[in-house]
Amino acid sequence: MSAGAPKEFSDLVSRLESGGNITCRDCSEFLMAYLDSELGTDIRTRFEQHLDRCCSCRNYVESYRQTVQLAKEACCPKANPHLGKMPPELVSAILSSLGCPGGPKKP
Amino acid sequence: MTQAPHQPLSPEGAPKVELPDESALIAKLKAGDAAAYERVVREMGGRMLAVARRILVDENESQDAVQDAFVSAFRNIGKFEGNSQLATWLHRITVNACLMRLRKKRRQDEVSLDGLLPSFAADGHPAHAVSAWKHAPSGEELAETRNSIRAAIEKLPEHYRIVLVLRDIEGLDTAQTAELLETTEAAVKIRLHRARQALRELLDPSFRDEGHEG
Ligand SMILES: [Zn+2]
Repeated sequence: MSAGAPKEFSDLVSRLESGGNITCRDCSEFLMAYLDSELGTDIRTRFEQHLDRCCSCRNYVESYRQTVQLAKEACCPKANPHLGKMPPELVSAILSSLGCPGGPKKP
Repeated sequence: MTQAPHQPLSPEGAPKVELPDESALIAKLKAGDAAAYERVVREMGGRMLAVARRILVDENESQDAVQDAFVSAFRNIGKFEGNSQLATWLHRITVNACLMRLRKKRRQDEVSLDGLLPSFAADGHPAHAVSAWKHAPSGEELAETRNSIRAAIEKLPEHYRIVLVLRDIEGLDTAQTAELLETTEAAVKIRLHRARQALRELLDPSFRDEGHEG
């Protein structure tokens, strides 16, 4: 278990140890820890067993993954070069604030 | 004042842009060569502005932050040690300049994710079954889809949006994000997870594949 795991993690562990099951809510709460491989082996196995039989949670995990990927792609500079256009006024403003008004000069 | 960073970003987060003859350029910057300043502003400014827009959203604030970043960068160019790329160094300074502006505004009111997190019955079952998603479109629809995804990110409450942008988009790691936001790594992890969940919820109506109910 990772040192940075949420506090409720210990609640989950004790609930599972006393014979409880992983619920859909647990899947949603510990999904990031699962994807970051921060769940202990036992809990990871139980988590995956739940996913095997719960279509709703499988869909949730997959759409969560897609969300992260889509956000990256939507903002990636290579795929969206128009997002980083410098307005000419900003270039001039920066150059003059650096002490080089109207082109190259020693600041 | 924006602090000049000494640590390089994690490799995945570093914008991979190396200017040709970078070491010669840095020597000129250190010597106060105005033509070198101008070249860096023109070639690196756009990427820095894109970062600022993602963090601050507001266009005027973003432009001001880029200006702050350049002033800080050139004032501190003597401290640039060449163990990271110039682009990486400028990226970190830009993030710092943006966060400095956010701290001044201190908009603490927008912390609720009401209606944007999954809900469950007392027994842990979901209130609604989750549907599978379709594949993202390609071709002409792609640009439109990306616009709507960026708009959805902007809708996230600032407290959550910042963490999502720094971690998932700018590529900072949990420790770097916690340090910049003056919080704990555990808090960063929880906020990132909530932000991703809320973004998933915002995108769900457009991506849900109605033909494949759960
Ligand atoms: Zn489930």
